Amino acid sequence: MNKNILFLAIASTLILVSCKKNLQESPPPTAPKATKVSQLKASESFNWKTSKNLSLNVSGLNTLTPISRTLVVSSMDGKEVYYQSIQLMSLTTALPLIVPATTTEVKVTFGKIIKVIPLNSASIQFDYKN
Amino acid sequence: MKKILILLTGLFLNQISLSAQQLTINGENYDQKEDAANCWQFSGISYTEKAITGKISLATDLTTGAWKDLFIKSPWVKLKSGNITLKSRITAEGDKNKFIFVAYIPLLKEIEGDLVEINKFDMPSAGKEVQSISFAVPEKIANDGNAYKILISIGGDKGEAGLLLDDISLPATYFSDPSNDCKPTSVSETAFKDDDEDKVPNIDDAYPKDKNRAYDNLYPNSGTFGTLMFEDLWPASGDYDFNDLVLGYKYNTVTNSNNEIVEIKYTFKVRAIGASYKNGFAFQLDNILAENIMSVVGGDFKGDYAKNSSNGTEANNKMANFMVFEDAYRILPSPGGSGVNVSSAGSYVTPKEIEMTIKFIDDEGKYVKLVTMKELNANNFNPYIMINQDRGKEVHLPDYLPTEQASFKYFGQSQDNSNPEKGIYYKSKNNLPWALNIIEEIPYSRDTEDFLSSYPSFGDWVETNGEKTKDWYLNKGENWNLKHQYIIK
Repeated sequence: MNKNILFLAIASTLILVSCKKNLQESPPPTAPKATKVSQLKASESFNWKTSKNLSLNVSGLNTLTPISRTLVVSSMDGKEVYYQSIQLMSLTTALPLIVPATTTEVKVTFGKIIKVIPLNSASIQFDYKN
Repeated sequence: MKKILILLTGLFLNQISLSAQQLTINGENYDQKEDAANCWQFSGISYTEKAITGKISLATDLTTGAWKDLFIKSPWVKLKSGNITLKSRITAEGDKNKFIFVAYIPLLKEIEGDLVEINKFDMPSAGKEVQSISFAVPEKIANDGNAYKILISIGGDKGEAGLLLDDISLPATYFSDPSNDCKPTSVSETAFKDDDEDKVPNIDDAYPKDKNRAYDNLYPNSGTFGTLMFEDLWPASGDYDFNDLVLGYKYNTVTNSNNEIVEIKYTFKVRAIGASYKNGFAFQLDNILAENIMSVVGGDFKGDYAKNSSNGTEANNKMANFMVFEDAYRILPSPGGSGVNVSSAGSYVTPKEIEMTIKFIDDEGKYVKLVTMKELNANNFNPYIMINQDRGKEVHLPDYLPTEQASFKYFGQSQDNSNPEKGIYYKSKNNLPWALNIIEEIPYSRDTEDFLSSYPSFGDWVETNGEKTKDWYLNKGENWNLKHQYIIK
């Protein structure tokens, strides 16, 4: 009886160890990488755009006299302008931006006020304070 | 009602009068950064809830033994006759030798000149009573029309408790420009000269002599071409080389000082034709009514399968549609055989550019409705081909709307999986498109070369919902495979 129990215990251990080993050695199969467009599967929600839409929320400054300047949103080197319009400094508003999807930060210029805004979300903030 | 109106009018006029003649700082906005942005300067000063009046006062750090370490400096102002007033009290009993020193600083060209003392007030060392302090503006500078700053400096023995200040008031009009490094407004008036008086200064105005135009807004923003690529076997899937028609596009949206669109100048460049069909090209401005267009100049549409209205938009469409050309082969004739600029064997044909200007306002300044760039931007640009000159057989970018002229009979046929009720258009069962829009001018595949062979990172971009390899189209790393792309010899 004891001999049988011992045999069963050893056999069970071997089976378990064996199974574990198999699990370690056999990663789940992955789908072969597509080599043709026709093999690709896109999500229904994928928008296929190489640009992205953002909203720049401008927080107005209560000024003692009305100040209007051109507010420019551009690439860091200023060569690509994503938005420009005359803006009243006291106005709080949201401005639409369309930038290349690869863009990670934009430069906002208002007169001599210059700020770099990282594109952490689709809604970014700008104010005139230091 | 009349009494309320008079009362409100009186209050309003009082506010205007106060702001015009009196400049005050009391910390009640509890936003020192806002006051700093309005050109007040602080050194060793912070806003505190230990109020003398109201809820907030200005507190100094410990005094340093010097008179110039702790101060508040006003913006540039024009001083009037009257008194500079403030309230102050000590914060610790027994501290001696505390004083408040007030001076004015004249403007020398664009910078501060030497300061000139107006007066000095010695604070009592006993008791915490609030001191009301008042100094007259010197007669020689009051109302002289020049710009000055007022310096209020706090001195005292080193390491002793500081002072509280409140209700600092100057008989002055504000003369600083927070947008121009707080320089005097007179400097800004020169720097921001505006010849056409449209409120956009010359330095920012692309049309400084034209009050109806102010800005050039380029798309793509670099000013170079973007790329449109089409497959033309829709609703059947094609060979996915995306070169049945390859077009460059760019446009300049000209806006006025109200950010309203005056006109849009489009340039299209026919680069390659990898099709046997004679495809036409057009675009719709989604959500922009055709009646808002005053006129169209340019384009090169000579077909008879579409008719234009008198304003240059395609007839019988509620939304503004513009026919650009009726047959790509007429624009870019084949040098022999089928296709242009897609085969390594064929000779290269220089791409042809077509310009088209859409005007929202006529030469006399008349318009139906001007829209802003919030309403009309790159999202509204809806380009499409008309397959083999069949007006109803349109191929658009994925999920872009067909026009009113599109025949809905093709939707759901063959490989097309459009579902108008869900707003899904021009996608296959695997959600693959028949057209691509890339924000850069990029090479395209040679004829019958699969697009994925030309751009190996494209697949990861597609299958990760655009999260990975966002730069798949840029020439870096192994993004481009030149073996499969059309190379101009």
